Amino acid sequence: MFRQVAVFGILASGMTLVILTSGIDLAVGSVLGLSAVLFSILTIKMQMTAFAAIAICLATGAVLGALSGTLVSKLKIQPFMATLAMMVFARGLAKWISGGKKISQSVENEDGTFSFIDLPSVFEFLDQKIWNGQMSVVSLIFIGIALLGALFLTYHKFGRYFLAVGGNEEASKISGVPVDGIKILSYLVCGILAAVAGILQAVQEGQGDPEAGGSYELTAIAMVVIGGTSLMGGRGGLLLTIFGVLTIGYLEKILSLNAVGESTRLMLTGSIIVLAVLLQRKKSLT
Amino acid sequence: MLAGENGAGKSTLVKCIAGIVRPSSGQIEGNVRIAMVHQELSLVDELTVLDNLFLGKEQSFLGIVQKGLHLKMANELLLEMDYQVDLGAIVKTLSLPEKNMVEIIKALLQRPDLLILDEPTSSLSPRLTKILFAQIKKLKVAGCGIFYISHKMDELKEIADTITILRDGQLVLTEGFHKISMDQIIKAMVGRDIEDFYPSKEIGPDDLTQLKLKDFSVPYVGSEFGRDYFVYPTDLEIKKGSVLGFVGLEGAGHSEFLKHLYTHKKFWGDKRIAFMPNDRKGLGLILNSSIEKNLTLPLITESSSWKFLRLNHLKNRARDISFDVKLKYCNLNDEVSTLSGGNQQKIVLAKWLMMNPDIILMDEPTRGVDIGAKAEIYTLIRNFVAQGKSVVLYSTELIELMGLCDRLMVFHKGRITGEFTDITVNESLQEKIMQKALGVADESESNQKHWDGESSFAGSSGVDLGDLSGVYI
Repeated sequence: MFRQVAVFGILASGMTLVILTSGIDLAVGSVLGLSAVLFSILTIKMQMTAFAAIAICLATGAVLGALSGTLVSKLKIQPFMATLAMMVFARGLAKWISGGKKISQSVENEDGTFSFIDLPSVFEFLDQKIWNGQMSVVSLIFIGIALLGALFLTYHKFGRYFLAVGGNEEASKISGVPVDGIKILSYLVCGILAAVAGILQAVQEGQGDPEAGGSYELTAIAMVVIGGTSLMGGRGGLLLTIFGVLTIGYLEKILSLNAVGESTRLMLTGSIIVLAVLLQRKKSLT
Repeated sequence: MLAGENGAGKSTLVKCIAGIVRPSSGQIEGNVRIAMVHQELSLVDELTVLDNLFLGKEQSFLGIVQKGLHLKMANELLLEMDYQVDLGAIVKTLSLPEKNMVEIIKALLQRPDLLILDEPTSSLSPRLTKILFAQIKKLKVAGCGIFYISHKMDELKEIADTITILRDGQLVLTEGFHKISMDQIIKAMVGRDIEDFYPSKEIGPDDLTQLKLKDFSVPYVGSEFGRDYFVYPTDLEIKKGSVLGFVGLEGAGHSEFLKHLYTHKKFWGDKRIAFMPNDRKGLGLILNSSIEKNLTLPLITESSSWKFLRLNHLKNRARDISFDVKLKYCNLNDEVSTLSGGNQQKIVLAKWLMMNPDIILMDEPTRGVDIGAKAEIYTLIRNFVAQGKSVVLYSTELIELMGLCDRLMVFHKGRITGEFTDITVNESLQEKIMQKALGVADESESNQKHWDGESSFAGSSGVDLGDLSGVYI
């Protein structure tokens, strides 16, 4: 179960941080795609070591995230617009470095035939199941990130600043909180997590698809909101987001197990998002 | 001690000192620890009291917040101040006075060398003000400099050593406090004598009845006040050409009276009634919209819905009315949020004047408005009723009510306990009115205690004995 939602869960974890500071990051889906392609190129085509490839991918995510954060905090562009621009830009970048093609084991030879090269071992390592197949590495990474993030939000002073900035930006500034820095940090972490999700996506698919992650950002936002984190910022948390991730995940699973068609499934999901948000509001009103 | 009208530049000056606003020229010398209590509350509603107290100043080890140390430091200070607050409570669940106190404690926790207080007592009860002043006196002895901004003259008397007055961004005077009289202070603040602060009370063209309320009552669901009605059934007559004032402690029923009258058209008869709420920013104005659009909003809603708007006509009406109310503005297209509190309030008033109602109900029409604008609003009110109209108003400042109203009704626990006519500003009348408002005629000391309890029970703020007796000009 965790395995299927891990990629979304990691995206949603990063999204939670941004939304807590009353921002939004629409670029996560594109950054995921970019990271998936980049990782595949580095490991499959260029035969780079796994560590170096991962480091480069994460750094790319971090740079793009920090760029979004700077646009939002320093240049005062609305988060929605800034990250919308980043979403388009990152998708373009992914298509550019991949030449618009999926990066996989199959390589086209000069005479038009295809040959296959072996997948690097890192793919197998990250995609394996451990503990007698009880738990996948992908899930472990998701759970680790979520727990670490939750602890950070509660016990670290920067974690508290996220909530403070989202709750009352002016008050935070007056109290000496580095508001701009915190905002940039939130987008930066979100970018890194999107890159992590991209690597895992590539590993699970065994290839790097430049179109991967399209509209994933919307699912991630839905998961955050269903969990109960306020889009206005300042209220919510990572554990709540995990709840939101599992809600949507189980919903999808139950519906597909019962052979409900995709069209019906989407309509039901939409309705359930509305219901969940209404329930959340009722809880916060009382 | 720093004094001056709204918009004189007090808050901006201290923000420069605290390093929040950068001065456009000049330098600030010295190297001291400065803490500041802000006028607008700077608390994060969703965090706990403890987290707010240490926001931006966390004691941490490798970034891990040391909650135990926070608790210890906060408790020490609370003990020293003899004040209690639930440190674990989420700030948004606190009442306004409690938030105000938290804000003050937050500044004190930094153990500053220079403490800046920007109207810290605006919502504190007398008991809390006493705690604050005791702490200020202790700090003074310990060698801490205090920079105190206030509107309230009686506060100055208690704690100020020197007074500095600003007007329109200019330094008017700095003087030892005991060397200067109250009249001089007021004159320096306003820049003119304000002997005729309250306009003369000409009774309107006639003494006829504007609106008669029979058996008017406001039912109350709940048990907080231990009664079934906010306002028990009562008869009331609103006279033409007169200002009727309501006096009462919080929860006495006066403001519910106004709201109920406005929201239930069946009581209106054939009269047109307008209501000026006390929450100017929340209910009175569209802050980020232009002056003109705010002024003409009632006109637009009045005009029939299938017509296009006559923009020129609207603009002229807006210009005329702003002239009538002496609104200070650059351009009618400016955002309302750029205006001072006094000018904003004039827009709220002008808006309703434009609808030409018979009665305007006002809930604290001069809240957060400086002295000059107050006097102008009083004149507008008197001019309005001189046309045979009526105003019913409630204010926390008894002196203001006495200066402005022709008739006062005193509310106590949902009943009208006194009615006064032929009102002039004098102390003996003030005392009589207060006794009625408290519901008893002796032992004001024990009543105050009783009232304090009720106030916190109702979870409300604002009006209490201190405000009623507060001599504000």
